[in-house]
Amino acid sequence: MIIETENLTKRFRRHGAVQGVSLSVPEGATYALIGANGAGKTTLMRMLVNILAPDAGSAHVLGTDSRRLRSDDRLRIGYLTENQELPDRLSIAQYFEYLRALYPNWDGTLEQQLRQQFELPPSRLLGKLSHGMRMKAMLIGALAFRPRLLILDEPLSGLDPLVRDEVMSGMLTQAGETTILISSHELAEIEGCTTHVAFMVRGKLIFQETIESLGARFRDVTVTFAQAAVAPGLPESWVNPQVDGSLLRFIDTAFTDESRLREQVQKFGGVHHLEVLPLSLRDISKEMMRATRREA
Amino acid sequence: MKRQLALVGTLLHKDLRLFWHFAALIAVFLALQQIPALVNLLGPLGAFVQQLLIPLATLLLIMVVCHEDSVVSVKHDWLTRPIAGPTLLLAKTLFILAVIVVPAILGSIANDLYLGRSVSEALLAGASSGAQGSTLLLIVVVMAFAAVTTSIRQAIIVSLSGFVVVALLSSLVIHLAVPDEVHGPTGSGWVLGRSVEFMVLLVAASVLWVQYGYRHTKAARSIVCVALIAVEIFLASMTWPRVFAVQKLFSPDASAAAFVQVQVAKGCFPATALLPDGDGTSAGGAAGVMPIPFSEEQRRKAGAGAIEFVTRVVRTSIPAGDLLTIGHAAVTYRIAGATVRPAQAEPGPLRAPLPWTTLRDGTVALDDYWLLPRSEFDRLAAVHDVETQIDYSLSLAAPTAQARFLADGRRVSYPGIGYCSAKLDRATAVVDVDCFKAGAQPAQVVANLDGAPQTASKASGYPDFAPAVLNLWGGQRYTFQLHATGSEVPRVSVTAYQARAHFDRRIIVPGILGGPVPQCPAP
Repeated sequence: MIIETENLTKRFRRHGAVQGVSLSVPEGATYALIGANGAGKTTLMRMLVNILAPDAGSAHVLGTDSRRLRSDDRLRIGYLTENQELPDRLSIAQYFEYLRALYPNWDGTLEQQLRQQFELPPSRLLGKLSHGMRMKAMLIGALAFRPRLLILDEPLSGLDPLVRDEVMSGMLTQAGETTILISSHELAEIEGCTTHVAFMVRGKLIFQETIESLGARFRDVTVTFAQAAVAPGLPESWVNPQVDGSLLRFIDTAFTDESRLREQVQKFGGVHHLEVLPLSLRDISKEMMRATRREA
Repeated sequence: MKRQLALVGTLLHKDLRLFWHFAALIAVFLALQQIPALVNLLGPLGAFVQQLLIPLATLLLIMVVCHEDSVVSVKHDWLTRPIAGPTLLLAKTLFILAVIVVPAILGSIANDLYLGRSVSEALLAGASSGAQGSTLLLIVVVMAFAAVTTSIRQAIIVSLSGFVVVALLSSLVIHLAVPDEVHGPTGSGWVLGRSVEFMVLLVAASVLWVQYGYRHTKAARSIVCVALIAVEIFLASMTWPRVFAVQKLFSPDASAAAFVQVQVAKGCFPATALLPDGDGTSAGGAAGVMPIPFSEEQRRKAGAGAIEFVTRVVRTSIPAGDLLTIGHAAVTYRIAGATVRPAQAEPGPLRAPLPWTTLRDGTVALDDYWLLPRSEFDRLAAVHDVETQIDYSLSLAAPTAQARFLADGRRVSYPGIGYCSAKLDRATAVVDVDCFKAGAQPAQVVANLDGAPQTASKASGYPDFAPAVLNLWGGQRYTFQLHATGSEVPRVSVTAYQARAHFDRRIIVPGILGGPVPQCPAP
C-alpha cells in the first residue's frame, strides 16, 4: 500500500475532524475520497503529508510514518489544495524557476508541455491570476517533478467546465505512473479515471472499495406493488426509501443480482413491476450524503 | 549538505525577488543612519526617521519575510515542497542579516573611514555596531514572534496587546520588587539585564527550534506564555541582596577588600524637617546640609514634617589607584539587637547618594541623604534602645590599563583601552576624548588631564561590573570632555578599570540620627 492509515484521529478542540480512519491506498490507484463539506477529507490529507499531526492513530505514506516524513520524501509526493497560499508577488515564470531549483527530479519538458497546454502567461503575477489559472499553475507545480504519489484536495472546485477538462487532462498525463488520492465534488469528471472510492461522513470513513465493486452493489430500485407500499421494516441496506402509494423507491447498497433482489422485495407484497438502474459515482455520493444526513 | 545549501540559495533568491524594494529601502536607511553627520543634518526629521520609522519598518520587514513562508500555516506553498524547516529558518535568517546587519556594518565602516579612522578600527567598530548583541537579540525575538503568529495582522494585534500587558506587568513588578539600585551607578544592572536577555534568547531560540523543527505551534506558544510568567517571577524575586549576592560571586580578588573600611562620621547626623505644608522645601537646616536631592513625589510621599538627614562615610585602606563604589546602602532600625521593620510599606528611609568628594583634609567622603517619615521617627523614638543599622554594598575596581597621549588628534590603539584620540578646542578650552574598544569591555573608563586633580576625572558613565565573558561580543565607544587650563596641548590619561571585589560593610550607630534621641533629637 502506498498509503496506509490506522485509526487516524484528529480533533480541533471538541470537534472530531477525523475519527479513527483506516484507509488503504494501493500503488497505482486513482483513489477518490468523497464526502460532504466538513467530512474531514482535507484534514485527513493534511495529516498524510504531515502538515497536521494526528492526535491518535498512524499513517504510513510511501512506507514512512507521516510524522517522520522528511523534506526529501516530498520529492516523491505532490500535494495540491484549492486554498494553497502561493508567493503571490512572483510571476508564473519566476515561480516555476523557483520550483525547478527545489526539485532535482523536475521534468522541464513536462513543465513546458503543461504550460503550453494550459496557456499560462509567464509574466503574470501569481496574485493576479484567476482561480482557474491559479489551479493550473499549482497543478503543474505538483506534477512536473513526476511524483510517485499525488494528493489533490478539491483541484476542480470553482473551475468552469473547460478549465476542469484541461486540469483533468493534465492530471491524466500522470495516471498510471502515479498513485493519485483525490477529493472532489466534481465526481462526474473524476469517475472515468477513478479506481477506488472512499466515503467519509463527519470524520468517519464509511466505506472504501474499488469503483467496480461500488458500482456493482449500488442500485436505484423502483418497485411497483400490487397494493400500497410500506416503508417500515425495510432492510438496512436499502437507503433513502420513498413511498408514493404503491410505489417504493430506494437505493440498494448491497445489490448482488436482480433475482435475489426480487425475492427480497416480494416479502413486502406482490410485485407488479421492478426497475433496477445502476448509479453513477455522483449519484452514489449524493444518495449516501442524503442517507447519512437523514440518519443524523 | 550541498543540496541544503542550494535550497538556502533558492529560498534567498525567491525572498529577494519578493521583497527587494522593501529590503533595499531598509538597507539604505540602516546604512545611512550609521552616519551621525547625515542624521543630524535632517534635524528632528532625522531623529524621527532614525528612532521610530526605521525600527518599525525593520520589524515589519522581518515579520513579512517570515510570514511569507509561515510555519503556523497549513496552507502555505513551502509546506508541500521539499524544504526542511531548519533550511527555511537558515534562509530567512541569512536574508534578514543581509538586509539589516550587513548594511549597518557597511554604513559604520564608511562613516569611520570618512572620519579618518584606520581600516582596522573601522572594521572592528563596524562589526560591533552593526552586529550589536541587542540587534541580534531583537531579530531572533521578532523571528520567534513571527513563528507563532499566523499573519501580519494577527502579529500586530498580538504584539500591541502583548506589549501593553507585558509593559503593565513588568512596570508593576519592577516598581514593586526590583530595587532601584540595580540601575545606574551600582554596575549591577547586568545581573537582571543579562539574565532577562539570556532568558529571552533561550525562549526565542526554543520557539524557533520547536516551530521550524517540529511545527508544534501549541508547544511554542506555551513556551512563550510560561517564559513571560517566569521572567516576571524572576524579576519579582530578585531583591537587592540577591542581586548583589550574584555580583559577589564574580569578585576576582575578594581578599583585596579585606582592609577596606567605611566609617560614618561621628556625631549627630545633619538633619532638617520638611515644611508642614509638604511642598518640599526644608525648614531650618543644619550646617553643611546641601539642597534636598529628593524628588517632589518622594517628598510628598514622605509627608509633612518628614525628617531629612545626612550620613557621611569616609573610606580608608583603599588599594592605591582603585575606585570604590557604593552600590547600595540601606538603613534599618534595631531594638535590642533585633531588626524592626518600619510600619509603613517602604522598606526603610529613602536614600539619595551624592558622589565621592575630597574634603579639605584630603579624606574622601560620600554623603547619603535619607528621608524618614515623621510618624516613623516618633514611633522609633519612643523605644529606649533603638539603633541605626546601615548596610553598604560596595565594589572595588582596579586599574587594568592606562593610555597617556597628547590631545593632538592622532589616533592610536592602546592595549586594554582600544583606539583613542583627543583634540583640544582652543576656543572653548575643551579637550574632546574619543576611545573605541572592541570585544571585552572594562567595568569603567576614566579620563583626566595630566596634572589635574583626581576630582577632575571624568568617568565614561556608570560602571558595568558584568563579567568580561558576557562582553566578548560587540564594542563600546567612550567619549569625554575635559577642561584644559593652559595654552599648551595637554596630555590626556585614560584608565580602564575592572572589578576587583564586591563586598558588604555594616555600621551600627546608637539612636536614630547618629546618637541617642535626647542628644540627637528630631529637628
